[in-house]
Amino acid sequence: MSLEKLEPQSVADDQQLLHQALAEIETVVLGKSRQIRLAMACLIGQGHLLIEDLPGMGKTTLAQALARVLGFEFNRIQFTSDLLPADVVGASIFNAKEHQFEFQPGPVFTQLLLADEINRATPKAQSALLEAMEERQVTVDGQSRELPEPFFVIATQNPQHQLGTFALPESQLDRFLMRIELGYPDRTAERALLSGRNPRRRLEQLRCCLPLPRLQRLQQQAESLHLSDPLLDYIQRLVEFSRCSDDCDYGLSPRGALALVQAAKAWALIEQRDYVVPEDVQAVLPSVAEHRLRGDYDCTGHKGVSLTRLLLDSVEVLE
Amino acid sequence: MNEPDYQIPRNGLAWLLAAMFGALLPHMLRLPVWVTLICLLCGVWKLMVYRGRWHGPNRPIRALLVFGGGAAVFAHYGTLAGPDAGSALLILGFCFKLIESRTRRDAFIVVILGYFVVAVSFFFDQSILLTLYLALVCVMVTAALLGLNQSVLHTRPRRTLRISLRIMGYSLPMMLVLFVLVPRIGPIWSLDLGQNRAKTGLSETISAGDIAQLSQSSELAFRVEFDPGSKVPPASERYWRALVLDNYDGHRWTRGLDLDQREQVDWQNNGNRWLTPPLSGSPTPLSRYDYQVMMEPTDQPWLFGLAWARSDTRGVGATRDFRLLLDKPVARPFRYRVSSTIGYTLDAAGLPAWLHRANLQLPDTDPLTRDLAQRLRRDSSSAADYVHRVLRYFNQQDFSYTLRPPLLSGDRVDQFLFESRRGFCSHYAGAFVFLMRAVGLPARIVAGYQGGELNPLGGYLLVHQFDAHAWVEVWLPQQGWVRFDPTAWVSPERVEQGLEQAMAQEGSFLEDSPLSPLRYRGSAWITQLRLSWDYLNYGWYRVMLGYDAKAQRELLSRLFDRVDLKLLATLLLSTIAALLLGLSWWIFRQSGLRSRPDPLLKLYRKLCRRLARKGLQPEVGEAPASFVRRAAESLPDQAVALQRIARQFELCLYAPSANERDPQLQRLRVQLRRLAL
Amino acid sequence: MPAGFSPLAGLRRRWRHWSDAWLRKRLPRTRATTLNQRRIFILPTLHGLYFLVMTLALFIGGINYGNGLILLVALFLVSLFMSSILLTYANLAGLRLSRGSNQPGFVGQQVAFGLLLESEREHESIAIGAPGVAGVKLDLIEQRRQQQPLLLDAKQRGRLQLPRLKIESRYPLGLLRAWSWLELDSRALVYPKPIAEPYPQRLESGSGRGQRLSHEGSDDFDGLRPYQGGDNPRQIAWKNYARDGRLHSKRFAGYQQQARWLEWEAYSGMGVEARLSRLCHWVIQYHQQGLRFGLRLPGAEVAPGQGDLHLQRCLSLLALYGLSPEPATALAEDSVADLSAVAAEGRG
Repeated sequence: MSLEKLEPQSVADDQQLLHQALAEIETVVLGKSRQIRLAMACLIGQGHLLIEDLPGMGKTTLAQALARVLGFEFNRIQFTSDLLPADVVGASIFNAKEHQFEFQPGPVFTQLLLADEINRATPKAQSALLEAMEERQVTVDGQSRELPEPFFVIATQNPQHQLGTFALPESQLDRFLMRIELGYPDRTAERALLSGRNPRRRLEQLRCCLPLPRLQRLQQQAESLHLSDPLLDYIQRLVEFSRCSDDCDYGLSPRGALALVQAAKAWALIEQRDYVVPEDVQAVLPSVAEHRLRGDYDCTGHKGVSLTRLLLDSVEVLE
Repeated sequence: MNEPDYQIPRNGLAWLLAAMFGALLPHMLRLPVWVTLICLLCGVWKLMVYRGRWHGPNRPIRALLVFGGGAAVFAHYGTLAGPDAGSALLILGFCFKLIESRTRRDAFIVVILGYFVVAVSFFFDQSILLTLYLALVCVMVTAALLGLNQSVLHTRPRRTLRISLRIMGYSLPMMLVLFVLVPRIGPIWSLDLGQNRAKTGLSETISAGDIAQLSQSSELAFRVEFDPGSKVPPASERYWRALVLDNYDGHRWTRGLDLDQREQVDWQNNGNRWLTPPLSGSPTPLSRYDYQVMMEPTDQPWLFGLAWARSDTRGVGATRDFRLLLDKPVARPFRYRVSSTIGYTLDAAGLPAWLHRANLQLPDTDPLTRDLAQRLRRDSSSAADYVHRVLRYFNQQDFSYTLRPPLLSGDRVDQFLFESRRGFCSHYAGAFVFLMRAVGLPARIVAGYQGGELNPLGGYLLVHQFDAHAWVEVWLPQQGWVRFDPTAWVSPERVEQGLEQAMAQEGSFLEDSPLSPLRYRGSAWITQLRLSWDYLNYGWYRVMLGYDAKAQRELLSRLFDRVDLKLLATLLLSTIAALLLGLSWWIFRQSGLRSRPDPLLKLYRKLCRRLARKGLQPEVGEAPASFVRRAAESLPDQAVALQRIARQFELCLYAPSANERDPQLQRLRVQLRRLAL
Repeated sequence: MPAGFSPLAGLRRRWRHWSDAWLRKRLPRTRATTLNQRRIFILPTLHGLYFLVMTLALFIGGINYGNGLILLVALFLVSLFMSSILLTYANLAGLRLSRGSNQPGFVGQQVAFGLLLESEREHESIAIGAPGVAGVKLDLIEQRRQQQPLLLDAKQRGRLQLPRLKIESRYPLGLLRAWSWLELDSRALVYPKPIAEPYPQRLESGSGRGQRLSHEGSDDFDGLRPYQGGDNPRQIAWKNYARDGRLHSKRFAGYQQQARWLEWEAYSGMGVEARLSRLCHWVIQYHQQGLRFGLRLPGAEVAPGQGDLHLQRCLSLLALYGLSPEPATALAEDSVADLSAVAAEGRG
């Protein structure tokens, strides 16, 4: 469906539905409005999402809530150290009755896949998933199989220093459009959480308010948002700074820059604008860039000044 | 440095070679052949070194070149000083330095010498063509200097040339301002330009043939520009006196009396020292002419003027025979002012005995002529009557005017008057003076130029070498010196219309120079072209040579009341400062790729300044709208307006309506104007 | 005061102190700067003085001989000099210098500081140098944006600050010299010099290939075992079943590669630098062999890992061990000045 054919009301409608969906999720994931919007922006920007936080912070809840609100087919894989690639993509199983192999699709054949604790699995299993993310198809026994459309992955991972983890290699981190952290809820949100009903129950009650065609329209709309010259200048300055700064070992790759644009457009759409402003870029920059920029290792072990913070604080918006 | 800093960039070297050949070219015609040959050899040598074929000279060869060159110059000129020997030395040094130069420092010295060689060329010639040519050479030398300072890796000579042209373009306005405004001071020390180069022109002796030779030369002798109020004298009055010849040895006329010695010349008084008041009832009415003469170098001190000439130009004096004289030989184009009064009687009160005697000197020759003189004198009633009888004799007998007279020998005057009867001005003048002196009338030959071509473009006269002429002055009692031109009685066209008309039938006018445009005066467009070109040259000389302290003062006094050193200095400094400012504006304007600053950005900066007064400053990395919204929060009374402005900024900067930007911008301007901070 | 104290040395020292302080105040350390009139100094060169002397000679000649054209040449040269002032200045003005990416190095090698030059105009023959830095000369003609590496000898482990740079140009005519000082806030890491010495065996743990931990891995196929109830159906060897009708499960071995640790204590009894150098050697060795290893220093460690990033983390840790996070530059420069003073007095 092309954007031109949409009635104005319909576009406004989509926006309305989008915000309705965001509001729905907020009733389940309390006090995380910003993260919810970022996650939604990631979906609208047609990218995969990586959520990094401690266990029990609501990563899975967020993913499930998104799936329900969007009415997606939803699968979940819990990554463990003995997870085999076949457990992700599926395997051929011999059907004794018909005496032939049958492909039994793995959990990856779904619209929204929650890959829980992805860094607990061995690199082999990890790469099976990441390959699927990149190619949007899987190859089993020499046969390629298309994944359903759309295909989103929300992966969660525990912080690196936890025991028994296999860090994702840099090249694979790059495949996630965004990486967000949820963090502890604030006081009021936590209180609401504690005093409220069982979140699991509420999750089940979520309505699907943004069906797939609507989401696809929003995606198209986001892609067609306007990028003005001053804004592109700003993005280029950001990227150049990241490449020249000696605090970053590697700067943002062109793919990273493209991701930044994609995410900023999606954010602008959520903000109900038909053009992108620097604030959009600034809003998504930490989520888009942080896992792509590799910092000078700080010998004391704690994270120093965030690199993206440095970027935001050093690059002028207008020159 | 990642490149040896002393190495000469090839780019610079290439231009240095080009500049060398360019700078030497004007000198080649003038210098002895061997100097030219050595220069060419050096150039070729360096060229081969440049192309990597040969090696540079080693130490003994360098020493040989330097000392050998110096010795050769000394042997040739007998001196190492003076413009000729000096310039030869300079040029040899330039070439030697060029072949031995290996470092940037050496090459820099060659460049400096190059500028010197260019400047020295102007000693010998200052024509407009040479100046244009040397300007080109200057471009090359500058390109060489630029090339020396470019990177060794830079190998685009044409780019170097382009940049050096640009730099020169930047410098030219400043140069002109300096030329006009730098105070002109007189020579700091006196210099004697001992130049002994052959120049076409009058000589101190006249024998048969001299003036005929000059008649073959189409070179310019001098130009005369009459003052605005002054008329141009008719052709028959244009007798430009230069020399007086009063001694005849039977063969040639020479200057017997040396009246040009310094102490005998009136340097201060405009020649009034020898002046007697004009007699009342003088035969011709007085007419006065004021003019300036711009003469080509002659290497002689004689100047030209209509009788009776006075000049107030510095260094010009008047001799006892009422000629103008410069205190040194005219070595370069020279300009002087003259006032002439035609018809003024000179020495009417009588001649001093020594002068009288000198003007009666005759060798004991030519008996037939003496007989003729006695015969005619006997028939005459007075001296004046005698003069006229002689003139009528020339007119009525079978004399003819020719530039191809037969050779004479023995009693030359007799031979001329009674046998050949063919000759030109010096023959007639010589014979005439002989006839005068033979009967005791003081007389002398005057050599100079007669006539001149009027250039209608500038209203000035052009006097060429072929206008050279000789005529006669006879001292008559009560009338003083009276000019007679026997040639005019033989060939009136010569005086009235010039040599060309006089020679129309014979076809001998400029017969040796078939290419001279003067030969084709019949063709209107050639004449037009020639006169235009001369006018250009004339203007060039006027500006370049005539612009002295006096001209500077005159020019400036047209603009300012008082012209003094202080004014000059102020003018100079302020003009140069203005030029430099303009230049810097030009450099940064022209080369700055950034177009004029975005009006939106300007508005934002202005708003930032206004908000800064309220203690609000944008952080690094803060978007404009964010900043203005933050300001709105801390300035509640303007919050609404600021919110609106923030939105407007956002729209203008980032919204897709690029083609509607002007109205949007206008709206923003209005909003900003209404904002009361 | 030592007996042979020379007042000149004292003056020189004071002058250096004063000029350093003045420059630091006038041109503070920055990440990036655009050269402008505040930053550019300009003076004639020796060649420029020769040039002026020659011009004066020509001028006097022109005046003396009353030769307007020689005068004109002299005036042309004067104007050339004056426009050259502007052009020399313009050759530096507008040049934007910022730090580029730096290449770390080991003690005894060279560290490459990236210097990024950008401009909107052409610039030619710009010389950049600093004490200890090999000078470079470069053009910005077609490429208006260039990264120029500056090589500096790494003498000491830690963060190496790029010394104050001198940017100089005599372009176009060499008659004037325009220069500017630039204190760029750019630092590069200097790793310890690797010194090969056998790693004490007692601390070397694990075999080269890593220890087999259990059969509960997923890395390598390790054979078949008869099917037991509850086995993951995806691990059943269906191909075998199709062949012979018996169910087998595939067995996988997990090689939990046992991480090696490089320990500070391995070289006990040595000085700090000596230990760091030896550890540095082994960090590089292990990286080249593709091993998983960790590094443990007193108060800091790098968890086991492998890959380029891991190598860099280890090397950085070694480079910065025992140093304060930010080098106290002012102090360092003062101490340099003091050292020179001591040296001067020592000479006296």
